Amino acid sequence: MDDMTKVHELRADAPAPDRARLVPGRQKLLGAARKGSGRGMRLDWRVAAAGGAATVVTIAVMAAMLAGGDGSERGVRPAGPDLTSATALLEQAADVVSRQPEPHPRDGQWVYLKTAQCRSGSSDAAPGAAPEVGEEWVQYDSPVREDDTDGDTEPSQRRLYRLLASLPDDPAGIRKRAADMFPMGKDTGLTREQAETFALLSTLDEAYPVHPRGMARLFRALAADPGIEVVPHLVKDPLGRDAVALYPDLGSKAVERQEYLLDPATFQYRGTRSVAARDYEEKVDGVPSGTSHKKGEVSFCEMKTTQALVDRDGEKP
Amino acid sequence: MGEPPTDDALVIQESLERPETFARLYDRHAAEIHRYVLRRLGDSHADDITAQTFLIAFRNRARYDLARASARPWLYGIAGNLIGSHRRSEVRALRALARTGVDPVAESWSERADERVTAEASQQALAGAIAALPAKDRHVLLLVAWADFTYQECADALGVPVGTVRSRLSRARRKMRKALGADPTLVSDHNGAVTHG
Repeated sequence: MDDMTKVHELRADAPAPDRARLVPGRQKLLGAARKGSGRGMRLDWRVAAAGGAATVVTIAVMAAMLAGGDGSERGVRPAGPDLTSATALLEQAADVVSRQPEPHPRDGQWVYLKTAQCRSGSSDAAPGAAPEVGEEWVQYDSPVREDDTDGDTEPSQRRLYRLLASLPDDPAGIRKRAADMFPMGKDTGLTREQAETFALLSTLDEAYPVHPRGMARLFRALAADPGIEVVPHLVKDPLGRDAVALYPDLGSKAVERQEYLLDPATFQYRGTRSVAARDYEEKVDGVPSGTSHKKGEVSFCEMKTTQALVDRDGEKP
Repeated sequence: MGEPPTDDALVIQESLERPETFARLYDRHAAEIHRYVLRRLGDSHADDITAQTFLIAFRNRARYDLARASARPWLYGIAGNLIGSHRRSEVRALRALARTGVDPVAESWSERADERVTAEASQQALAGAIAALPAKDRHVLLLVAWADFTYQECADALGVPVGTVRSRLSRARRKMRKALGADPTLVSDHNGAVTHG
């Protein structure tokens, strides 16, 4: 049998949605249309620009649903990480990681990655469900991800390692290099500053193995970024461990924020999660939808529970 | 107001003046986008990604190339980017199918345990091969096989030249044939005017 026919038959019993399931999406669209801009909706922060050429890059959706008020944090300062400010924390993190050993990755190796994902609070996932665990292997020097001729710009792990290893000292230069690695589409609505901030955070999120002095420079560039904040107390990550949470400040009206979690002792990157910045109710076309979120509710997370260099696809560390 | 315009470009053009008319595009295409997302990622993502696809399209409608009568490639391109952000979930499910014969994605729409169908061996092999594809090759393969796209439509959806689509599909098909135990060099040319089923 023809291979395309076989592929065509895979999951061919997927049902078409009944009309009722499409109604909420249509209402959201109409709500946006009536406002004339499409703002006012929460969108997935990883959305890539339309058109397909841009890499799927971590882009914040700045606006989120707007409402008044400002959530104040309870500051309990622990010993260990300096949580007095993002700058202090990130400078401290830079000092710590710069002393870590170089991993010396080799071409032909693979990166083993074990993840835990959670999606509570989204429309149809079970709230409070345990994180979903998965494993994958990524080729360190993937030729596909280093092919620049086909419009796809997802960088290989080798490129990210080399990026870190070759970062300059000045934050402006670092921001530019990161933005070149994670180009944004034209349709994101982000300013250049915002796009560069998210390129720095994308580098933090994607880079493994980690070049220690390069990561220190990345942390210093983030320390110099006035748009980066730190939660002034340790948080519990989705696996119940203490973590430091950094986040890009989306303004006092944002009801959700994207947090980047670090190990409080080693400052190793642990993963990311979306958290409600305060209590809010979703609105569709200005009308409360009946779906409400409590401050601190996690709507999405992806934790990198284990990352390691291995010599073969499928090999575990 | 006269008859509603029949081609998507006209609807998009009209929506620049009257934004609510964009909902017609939703009525035309949301169901198939929903099913495509469902088929790639499972039930839990289909509502959100479908809704997001149209919101993003709406926000970017002023940049739509009105020379393109059908908005399907544009919409699938946006949906594809959103699906791409769940690449790990997609690959994980395909690997699970390859390993166990049980497809977590198909399970998401089979409500009863007695509907569970264990995949035949060739489907398991295929799922493993699709999981191993680079994301961009997987997009092309599944746009052709599941959305019945032509090469040109794939090129429009992904923003790459037609030649790139051809080479990606050919590379993907070689791997499918290899996984199915056929001679991978015997790939008949897929002429780009595909209609399955």
